[in-house]
Amino acid sequence: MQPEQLIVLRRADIKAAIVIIIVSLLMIFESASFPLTDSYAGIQNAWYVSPALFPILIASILLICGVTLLFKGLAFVRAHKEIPVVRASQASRWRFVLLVSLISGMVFSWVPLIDFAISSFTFLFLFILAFYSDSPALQHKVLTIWTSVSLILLVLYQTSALSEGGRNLLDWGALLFAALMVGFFRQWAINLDCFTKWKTSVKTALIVTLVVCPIFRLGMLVPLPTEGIVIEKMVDAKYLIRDMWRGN
Amino acid sequence: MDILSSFYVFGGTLASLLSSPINILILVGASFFGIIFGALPGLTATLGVALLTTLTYGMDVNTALIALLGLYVGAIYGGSYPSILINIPGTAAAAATALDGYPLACKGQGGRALGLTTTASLIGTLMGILVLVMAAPWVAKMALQFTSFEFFLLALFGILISGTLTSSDLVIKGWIAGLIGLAIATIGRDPLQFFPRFTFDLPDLDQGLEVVPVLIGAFGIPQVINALRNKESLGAMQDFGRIMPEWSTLFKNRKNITRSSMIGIGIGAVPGIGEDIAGWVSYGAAKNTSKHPETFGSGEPEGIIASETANNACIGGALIPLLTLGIPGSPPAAMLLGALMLHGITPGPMIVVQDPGFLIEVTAILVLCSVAMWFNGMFLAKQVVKVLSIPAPIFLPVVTLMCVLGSYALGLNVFNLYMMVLIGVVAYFLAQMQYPISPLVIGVILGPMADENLRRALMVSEGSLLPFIERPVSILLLLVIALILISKTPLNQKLKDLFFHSFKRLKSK
Amino acid sequence: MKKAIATLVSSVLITCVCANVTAKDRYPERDITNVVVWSAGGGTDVINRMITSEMSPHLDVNINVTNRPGGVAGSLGMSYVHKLKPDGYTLVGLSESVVASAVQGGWKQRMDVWHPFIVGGSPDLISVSSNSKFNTLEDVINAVKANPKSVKASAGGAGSIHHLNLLALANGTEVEFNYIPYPGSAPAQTAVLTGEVDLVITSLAEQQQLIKGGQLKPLAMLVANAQTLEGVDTIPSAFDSFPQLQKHLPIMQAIGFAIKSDAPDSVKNKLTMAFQKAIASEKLRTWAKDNYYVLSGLSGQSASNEFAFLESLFSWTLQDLGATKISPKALGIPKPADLQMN
Repeated sequence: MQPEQLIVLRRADIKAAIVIIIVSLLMIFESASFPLTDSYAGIQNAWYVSPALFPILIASILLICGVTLLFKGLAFVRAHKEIPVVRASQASRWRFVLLVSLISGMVFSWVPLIDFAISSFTFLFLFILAFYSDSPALQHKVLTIWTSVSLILLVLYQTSALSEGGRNLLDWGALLFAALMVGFFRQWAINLDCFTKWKTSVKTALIVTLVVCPIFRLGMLVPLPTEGIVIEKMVDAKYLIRDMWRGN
Repeated sequence: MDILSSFYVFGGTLASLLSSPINILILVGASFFGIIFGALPGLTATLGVALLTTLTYGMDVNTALIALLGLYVGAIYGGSYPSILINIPGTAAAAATALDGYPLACKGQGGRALGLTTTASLIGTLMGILVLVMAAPWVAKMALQFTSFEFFLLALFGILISGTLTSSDLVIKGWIAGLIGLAIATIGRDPLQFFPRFTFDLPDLDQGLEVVPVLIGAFGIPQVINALRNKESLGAMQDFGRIMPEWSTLFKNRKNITRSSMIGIGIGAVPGIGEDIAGWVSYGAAKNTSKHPETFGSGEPEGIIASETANNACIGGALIPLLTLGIPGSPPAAMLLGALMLHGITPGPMIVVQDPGFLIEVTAILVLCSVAMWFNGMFLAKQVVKVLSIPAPIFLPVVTLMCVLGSYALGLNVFNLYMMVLIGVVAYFLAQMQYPISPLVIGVILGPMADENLRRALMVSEGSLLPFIERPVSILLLLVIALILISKTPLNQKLKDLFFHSFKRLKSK
Repeated sequence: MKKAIATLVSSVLITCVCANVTAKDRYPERDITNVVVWSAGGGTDVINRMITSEMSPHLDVNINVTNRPGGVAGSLGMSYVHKLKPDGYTLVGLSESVVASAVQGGWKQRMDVWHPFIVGGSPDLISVSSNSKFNTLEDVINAVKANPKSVKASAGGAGSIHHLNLLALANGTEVEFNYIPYPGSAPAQTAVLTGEVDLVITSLAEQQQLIKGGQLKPLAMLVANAQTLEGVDTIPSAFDSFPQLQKHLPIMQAIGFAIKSDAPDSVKNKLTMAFQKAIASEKLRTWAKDNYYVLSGLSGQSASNEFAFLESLFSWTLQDLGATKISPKALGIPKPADLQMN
């Protein structure tokens, strides 16, 4: 490994070691409050029965490891003060932020609130387009739009208990949003000369959604996290087809 | 029953099963779906068997068994596909395969890795079956030597293996990753007294973190972020490599295969633990006994042969206590027990008396299943390698969606998704800092086992540690653990150096 | 390709519009899902798969069984079903142990939110390893009396029905066992075979193979009647030698399923009809007999009473053990003695 990389690594090690030390200390502190001697759930406690035994053991070893890591890092940094610290490129950092925003936005805001078919299509479309086009301009647009919409949804999810009507309305809103995204990005993609990539993104997102949702919901009987206007219709359609099949 | 009549029943079952085209269709289909199930992250053999159980309600027992065992064998094998191709294990059982399978795929030998995996899985399954037929009562007796003391030592052994899966940077980072995994495993109600630990009054944390979301988060998310952030492509595609079995490589690995099978069967036979652990232990054993342990982790065929042989050999092992004692040896075997009971068969010691042919029938069905798995595998491996030709920016978002669904499907709990993302981001940063991720996952899998059994063992012995050195199996495990520890300490290396140094000096004089 | 997609999309859209037109007239018109709160392969899971497979022909739809284990005493699965509409399309597969969920902090509801259907359960018995020095229940009790806490007993997890049976046995005979908890019945039984503990209390269904195979030696049934088992001597009732046990026992398993109690009556009636037919079916009866389950077939008010009793018993026993997070009083659960059977 290059010394430039190594110094970055050791600096990161020091930060990680501090986190490890704090967490393991908190763990020991918390474990100390677990029942140690009295009887719990009909079982007489002794030091060797206590629920605190294992966590304290683990946290203590972790603490030792953390301290060791800290000193190793400090010693290295002190010995190599002269090496300059290189940082990750700006573009790479943006891509990282976008990736985390896409994944956590999907999981924390879209999945619990919006019909799974709509959310998976929107997610796939924006995700694929952003990285397949490989254009920083599009990536910035995706980042801004996706993050703000996800944040609005998150606030909505945390603050209000939605009625069924509200959820349906939200689904329609999300559907409209997905359609708008497909439309707007078409224009932007044409401006940036990557229309074919836009096409591939829409196609892939649509096909994957249309294949995955029925397979999971109808084939493997996995109830999807949120079943709104699209998934419910899909399930209804199954019974309609079944009834036609049965001939009534 | 003597051997001749056993063979007669065996042949008869094979012939009767193969004579019905519907049975063959079900066999191939179940095996195929099993492989797909195993290959999709998060969909495990247990879920597949559970899903199929209700469907087999109307079938007769043999047909139902074909479907269930076919899926079981296929799913354990199928987990190796994403491990090798995209470094995201489909099941916990195949996590060890990723360590050497993915580097092979990166070198353009993805086809070769898949081919080796397929044949190793077949051999493993057959070895498991062989032991199931020849030595079931004996192995079951051995499995009953495992009390809480041995379970704890076995867990400790598995955890220590994580120390051998060291980081390319500092050795201590492997240990830290393992300890973080163990610490995560203490979250939730403790298994003995139900006391809530580190749950922060969140009802969702009461049951602790499930292994599958942790596995997907720890392997899947960092892989997606890493590849897309650094614009890396997935495994190289220029060369499919050879898929048909390489007899010379397999022959060179005969010791490895035998050892891995025995480890797999043994771990499968011990009630309550299964494929997840077998792959790791076998990988660790292969690495520790290898003459060139340093090549492990950079595309060593021995590594994938070890883990894949063991996790498939586990199937035969897991069926031993199920069929002889009615105690399932692994989680999917527990589901199989339920399925058998639904068909009016209660596995247990009486089954040999009531239906002496049953064990042989199961064996015949298992042989068919493993052969079907091999053919399906040979066919699929060629097709599956092609996914690597899809550009990563298109493929990985779809993989991410599958990770989300896979983390959700087993527990049907959105909270698991939150955990998956949190663990994923933490794992990404850890991987950036050169921490190995596998020890973390091993810690999460083995933590509850170590915790529960240590405390129960001490409860039984009323705080005394003496039984650890009084029980034969326990002594054996302690010895192995001591050997690993000694071979890993820096002191040992110094002693060795000193020894060789003085030896050389003597020689030169 | 484009044409195919267009056709597919339009046909899906058309069916969707049509589907909207079909009014929700008769129950059940689509498949029912049974969410079992314990993991796949266990007793509750098998019985639920069995009963729903027998019920589905009478309802003319499939009943799909999924598992949603976890939380405290099945709280995750119960909260999941409780949040859904009371339309009868989602059942919850449960067993007696879920009644302890509320006092243990798993969820905030009492059992009266469910309208249960009880398939049955298997009676508990006390057994030792076949090479044990104990031959009768008296031997065990005398040994414990002479040397308190010297006998190690396993009975599934802490707070399970088997644990409650063990406690009732201990209270009735005024002895104290050294209770070693295991995460389930199977590991508890294995622990007797390996010699880690001296005796085990689990259900007959779970032990029968090991007893018939000569691995376990049955000492006494923890119910009023003796039990015959082919190839084995009759297992006496513990009440014969310790009549005072009648005050504390029997505590029987109650495995079955439930729908939300605010479901419409028409749905309840339809399900009750199918349930009774399934209980009466030859296949289920033979299966239950072969596997030593006692069919109960309770539904409606009598099933609710049974669960109210179990809820009271479990909650207050756990309260006495100091293993509750929320006191049964705060939840409004009456003591077993004060329970009004209405």
